[in-house]
Amino acid sequence: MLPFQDRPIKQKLAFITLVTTGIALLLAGVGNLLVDSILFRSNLRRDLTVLARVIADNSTAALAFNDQATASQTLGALKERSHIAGACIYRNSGQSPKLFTEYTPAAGFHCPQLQATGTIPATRRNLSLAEPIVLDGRTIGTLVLFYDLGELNQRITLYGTLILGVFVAALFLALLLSNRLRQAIATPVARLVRATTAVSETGDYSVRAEKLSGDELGVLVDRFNEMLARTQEAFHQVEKERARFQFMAESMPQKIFTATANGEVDYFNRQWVEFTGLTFDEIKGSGWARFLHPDDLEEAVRAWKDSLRTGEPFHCQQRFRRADGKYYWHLTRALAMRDASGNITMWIGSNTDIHDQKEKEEELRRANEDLQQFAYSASHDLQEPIRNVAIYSEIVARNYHELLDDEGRQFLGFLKEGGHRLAALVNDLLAYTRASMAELSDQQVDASEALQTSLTTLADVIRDTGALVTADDLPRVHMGSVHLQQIFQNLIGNALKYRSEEPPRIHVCAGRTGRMWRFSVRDNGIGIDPEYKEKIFGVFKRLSHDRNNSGTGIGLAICQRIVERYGGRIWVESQLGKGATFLFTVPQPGESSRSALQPSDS
Amino acid sequence: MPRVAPKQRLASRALVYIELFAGLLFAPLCSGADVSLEYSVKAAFLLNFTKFIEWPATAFANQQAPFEICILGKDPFGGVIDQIVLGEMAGNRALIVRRLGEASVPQTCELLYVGPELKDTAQTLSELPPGILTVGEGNRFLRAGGMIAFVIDDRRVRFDISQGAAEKAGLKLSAKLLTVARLVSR
Repeated sequence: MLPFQDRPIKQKLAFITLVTTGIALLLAGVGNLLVDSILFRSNLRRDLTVLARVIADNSTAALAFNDQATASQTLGALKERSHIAGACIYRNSGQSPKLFTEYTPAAGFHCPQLQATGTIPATRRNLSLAEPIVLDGRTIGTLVLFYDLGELNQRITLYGTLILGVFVAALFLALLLSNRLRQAIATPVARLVRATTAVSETGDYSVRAEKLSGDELGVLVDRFNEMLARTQEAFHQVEKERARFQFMAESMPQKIFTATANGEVDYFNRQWVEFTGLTFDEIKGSGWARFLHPDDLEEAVRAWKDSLRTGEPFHCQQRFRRADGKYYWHLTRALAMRDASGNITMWIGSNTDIHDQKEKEEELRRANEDLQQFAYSASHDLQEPIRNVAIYSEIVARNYHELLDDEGRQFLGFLKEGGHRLAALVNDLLAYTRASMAELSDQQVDASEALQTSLTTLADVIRDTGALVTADDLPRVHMGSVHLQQIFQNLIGNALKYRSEEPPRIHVCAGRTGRMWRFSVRDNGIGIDPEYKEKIFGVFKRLSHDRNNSGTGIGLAICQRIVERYGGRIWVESQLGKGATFLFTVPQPGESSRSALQPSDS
Repeated sequence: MPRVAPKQRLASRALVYIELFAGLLFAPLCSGADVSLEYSVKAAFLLNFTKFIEWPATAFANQQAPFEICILGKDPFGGVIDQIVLGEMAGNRALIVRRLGEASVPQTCELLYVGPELKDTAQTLSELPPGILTVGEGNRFLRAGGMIAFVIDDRRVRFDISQGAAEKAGLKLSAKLLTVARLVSR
């Protein structure tokens, strides 16, 4: 037996109809019966009382004159009244009333002994009613009527039978009617169920439920159909999006893949299949390891696991084997796609063939290396002849001074000056190439010490110009001591060199910005036109051609080289005539190189 | 509900006399065997007659006048009737018993019992003023002009009524009384 709640609606409706009809009928019937029975009883009692009074009154003389015959005759009148079980007249005598005469139409009825109190023992079968017989204000006897309740019971039985009959007939009719009426509810529901089952089993969203009524069920059908239509629309949309993505992915020159949240590759585009010459089934999941260069495998697996764990973008250069067995460099990127609550749903990745670029970079790097080597060697080798020119022109100027005429001495001066300038130039060039090739130091340097060393070197110039150089407390930074000295020396040297009319005021300070230390060297010099703030860091770029501002124009280039090699940045903030502030950043020790590549904007 | 209330002492005494009827019912009544029992019944009947008969107001001297039961001739009741009547009322009037003997019937009588041995019954009855109920013995009494005559029927005391005589005297007999009478003549 199914529990009621699991039974079909059809059965429920039938059950509800039967129960409500049944209860209503039963209540009505029982109520009717009760009311009838109560009314009947009270009516009966009233009728019998009247009857008893009349008879009692008519019996006074008979009782007074001891005329049993007449009394019997009087009682005999009761035969006209049906269901009288008996009538007894008791005469009051002595302690207990004595039966005077009786009328017993019912078989087996005998007048009972009347109690001294004048009451009758009650019986279930009979209703008894006692009426005093009064003569001149004295009770000389008692009339007791016994009414056969069989009539009432008969009535109840008859009524009960009738009600039962009506009950059964009504239930039968209700069942018949409800059988037809419940179709109005059960059929639309059944259709709806059929439609939902069809949709859920076939996944065909073009199915529509048939609307049979305009009631709530009809509304339900309409809404269901609307829902289906929307689902169908959404399904088409998804299908379209999928097709679009697939077309895009397949038509791209790049290799595209997607992976599940836990890193299993579930899609490779056509370019991948063509490149590897393997089927998708062979390379799906973690199959990419099969065509990755063995030297790149460990790093790739580590980086991929890192990304899967953290959700950070995956970024890696690696070699993949082509169908012909040759390896090609690729740049692999993958980004996590997240849902509304931020959980990773999938990864989308691309692999760009950077093989040519990689090879050209390599060539360029070698060429650059060669060039630097050449410049270093050249400037190194140039030093000696230049020094010779300077020395010998000095000697000539000193020892053969008299042998030369004024013109000769002037020319010799030009020669001497040119030799000095050439020597300085070669020196700076050498310093620049050194800065480019120098090994990066792992050690930390106290920036204050480095500054002090630089100031010692520049002591003469500072004294000559009457400059005032001040500095805050400077931190320890991750940089070679010589390199930091070189930077300070160049920046402060420039500040002294490009002074205004006032004595130079130079201030050095440092502060944290994000993951970097930021140093600034502020002066009150002539300033720089913002137009040139990029150019000044180029080799041989000098803005002033004033002879007073002598210099090779390599100093800032050297600074930039050093700062960039340590992963920092150097720039200038200035306006013409308002002094200049040179700033450079130095990454904090222990910071990852990636974040160090991006100077903070704050 | 019928109830024998203690306050109704009179009623309880009435029961004593009605009890006598029971003796009549079950003990065969032999003429002369126990005269006092028969007359006890008749005495009770005399009292009961007053309940079923209406006397005209003119039968009484005034409002307070008692109801007189007069016994003419030899008194067959002895003291029984006095006991029965004691404390009884007829309507609002007290009941008294007067034994007339052979004397003439006074105007104040309302019920006249005529003894069986009296001579010239018819003569006596004819001279009576209206408003007097006459009760006697046997069928001859009615023929002599009496109103109610005791008879022994099937060993029981019963009575016949001459309705005409009673009405002529201005008495109204209750229909109930007529139903229990053995015979009723006009």
